[in-house]
Amino acid sequence: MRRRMLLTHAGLYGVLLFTSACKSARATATQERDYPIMSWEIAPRSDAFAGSRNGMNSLVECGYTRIGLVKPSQLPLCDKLHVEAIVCPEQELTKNQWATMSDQQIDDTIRTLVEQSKHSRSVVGYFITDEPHTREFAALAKAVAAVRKYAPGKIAYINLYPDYARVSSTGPSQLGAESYTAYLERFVNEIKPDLISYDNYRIEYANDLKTPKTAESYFTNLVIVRRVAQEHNLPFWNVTCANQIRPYTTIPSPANLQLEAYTTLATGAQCLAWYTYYQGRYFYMAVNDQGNRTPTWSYLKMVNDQVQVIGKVTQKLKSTGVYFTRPAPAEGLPTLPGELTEDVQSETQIMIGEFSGSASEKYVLLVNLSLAQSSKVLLKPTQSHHAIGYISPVDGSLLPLDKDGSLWLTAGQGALIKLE
Amino acid sequence: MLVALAMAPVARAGDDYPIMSWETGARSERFSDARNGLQSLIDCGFTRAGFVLPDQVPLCEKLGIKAITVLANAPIDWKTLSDNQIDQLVRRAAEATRSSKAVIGYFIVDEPGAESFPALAKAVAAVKKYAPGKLAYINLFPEYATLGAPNLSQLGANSYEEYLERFIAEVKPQLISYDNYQIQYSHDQQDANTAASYYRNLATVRRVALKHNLPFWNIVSCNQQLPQMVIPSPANFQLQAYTTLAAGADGITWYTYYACNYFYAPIDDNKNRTPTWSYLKTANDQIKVLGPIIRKLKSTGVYFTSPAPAANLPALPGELTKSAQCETPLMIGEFTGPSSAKYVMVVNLSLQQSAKVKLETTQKAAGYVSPTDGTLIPLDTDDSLWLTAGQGALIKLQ
Repeated sequence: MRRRMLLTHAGLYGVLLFTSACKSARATATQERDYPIMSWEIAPRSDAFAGSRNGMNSLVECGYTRIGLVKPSQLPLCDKLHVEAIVCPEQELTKNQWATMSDQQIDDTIRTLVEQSKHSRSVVGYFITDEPHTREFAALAKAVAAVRKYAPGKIAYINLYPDYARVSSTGPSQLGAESYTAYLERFVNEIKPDLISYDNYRIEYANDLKTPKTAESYFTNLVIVRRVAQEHNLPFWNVTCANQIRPYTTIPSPANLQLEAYTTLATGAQCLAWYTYYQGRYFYMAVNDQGNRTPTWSYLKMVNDQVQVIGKVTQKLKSTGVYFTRPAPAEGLPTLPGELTEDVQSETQIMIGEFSGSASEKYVLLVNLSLAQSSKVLLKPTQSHHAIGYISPVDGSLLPLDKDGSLWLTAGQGALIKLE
Repeated sequence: MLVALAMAPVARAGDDYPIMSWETGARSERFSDARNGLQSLIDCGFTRAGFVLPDQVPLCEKLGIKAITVLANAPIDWKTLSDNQIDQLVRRAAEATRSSKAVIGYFIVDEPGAESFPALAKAVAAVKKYAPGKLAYINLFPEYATLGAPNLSQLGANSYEEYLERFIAEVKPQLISYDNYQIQYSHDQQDANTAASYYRNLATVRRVALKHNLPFWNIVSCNQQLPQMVIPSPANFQLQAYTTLAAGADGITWYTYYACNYFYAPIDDNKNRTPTWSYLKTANDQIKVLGPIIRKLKSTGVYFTSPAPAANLPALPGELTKSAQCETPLMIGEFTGPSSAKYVMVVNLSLQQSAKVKLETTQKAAGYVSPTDGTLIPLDTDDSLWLTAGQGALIKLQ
């Protein structure tokens, strides 16, 4: 359990809320707002937010729109920078601590945290825990209820394990469930969360998809979480990797950061979180232990700036389908044709996210799943539709497709195509 | 040689690194657009506007960007003009703009054959006469232009090296500028023979420029020039930028910023920013940090791991770099600076993958210079570092 924790320590928060008590947050979420791009820092990394050099202002400059996880004492800085925040206790709770608390202690902990942050306009939610075992769910349900009681409209944020955490049948279980789907279902049913958040760093562990078997998990996890979230009318958030997670894994690159960002958008996720911004015990992250910006900072800013533009569009749409060209990157993933997409021709594997809008507008987000090459991609929409262009990830304008209706995508790049 | 020595500082003026656009004709007119005009070029990280129309000079001054201006009636077939016509043409342009701090030079011609060199020599001399301190900018053919007699070839010379040598001897230029787009023509180096030209050309121009103590600028591609070609990407931008820096080039130029007859350019024909704009800004922002450091250094050697991307390119060991371990091919530029500072720039020549690189150098590496903020970043604990596809790292030696 401990070892697994080290491998996948991450988390994030949500905006659209599950219960009727949280309708105000849903209303807020539908207004013109930034797409949530969140950092995932806990102490001691999060102490660097207060740094004068490459502190919180550098995250904003790097394209982040939400700061996680912020201590109450750091909220004045969030207010000053007009950036939203997920708040965690000044003294972070240890793993499993919620499960050891009495009901009164849980209530007091949340009430205190809400009280400490009540003067800040930046707070959008409260961090509860990361990667819980099912045995903790009962206590976590009480913590979530306490957030609704003391801070209605705010998010109670819990981040879940990825699908490569151990299940019951394979030794000491991290999930505490017989399958990953069962883990998610129990989370939803027992905790009644505001959203599903999970982390998966298999793109890097697969050495930029060179180990397809390892990479499978990234795509299956994304599709499973999306399906369960949609079944329960919940938003979901994806925590992906922005560092060299292990010395033997590949490093963040324009290609793999694009792939993680655009696949997240293609599935209709309502937030993208990057793990991690500061070094801690990792490598090749955006800002190192000396407080200096690395090349990763430059790549991450490029991708975040694109996500801000495209996410602003996709967050107003309904994700109606996710498909892959054959062979899909993992067995059991849905393949074309979709509802809007008859076929896609490309030298490389393509992921296709389909969307509809409130005024019946239709979009398709294509992602080049190769991390090694650019590819010319030809979308063949279903009979009643045709592609009219794709949204510029730089200025949001509608760019024309090539004369033959195709477009090129660089390694990992996505394009949001508007249909008529 | 003496003239070259005297003129070189003209091209090297300024603390910033020249990152120039290469726009002529209808594309130059776009600098005046209210939407994605000259200001957007600056936002994208360019430090030189090429080539602006005379009436755009006030805009350059307002925005604080240095520019090379086109002359009236461009393009000009210089070899058809009399000496007096050449003199008057340059004089009029110089009188109109030579007092402008924004104007750093004048666009003379693109890709001349050797038969034009005598006339170009007069144009260059006229710029030196009427606008001392300004640059007479001429861009040369790449090495894949056709060879042979003046009336039967593009170069009008028997070899590319002869073409370069004659240009220097006859024109007495202030710098050597050339273009080579074979990274894209080779489909991101999938056609290795085509890609070889890119490296060979860079090495040849560098050698000739160093021999004559002239700076050189490299023009590389930031669009899709033909529909069947690969498009600009973060990887091929990095590769073109970092190989240019590793060779010690004094400037980089991107062809083209506006689309017009090309595709996937940073700004399309509807005046919108494409994904290419985003990639180019990222590359330019890195060049803006590393370029000024490299400009202060002396390029002492360029080497490749074996097998090199083209025949006869220098292989390791170099003067500072004994060997390199890496899954992918590498280019290594070596530099010395003030106070005996020594630097090595290593470039991952793969456009397909990141790679872990370990160099064995004569002196221990102190770290590499961050292309984001210029600070010194430590290498990994085993003295290696990872580079993404096309990425370079400027390593400082102790």
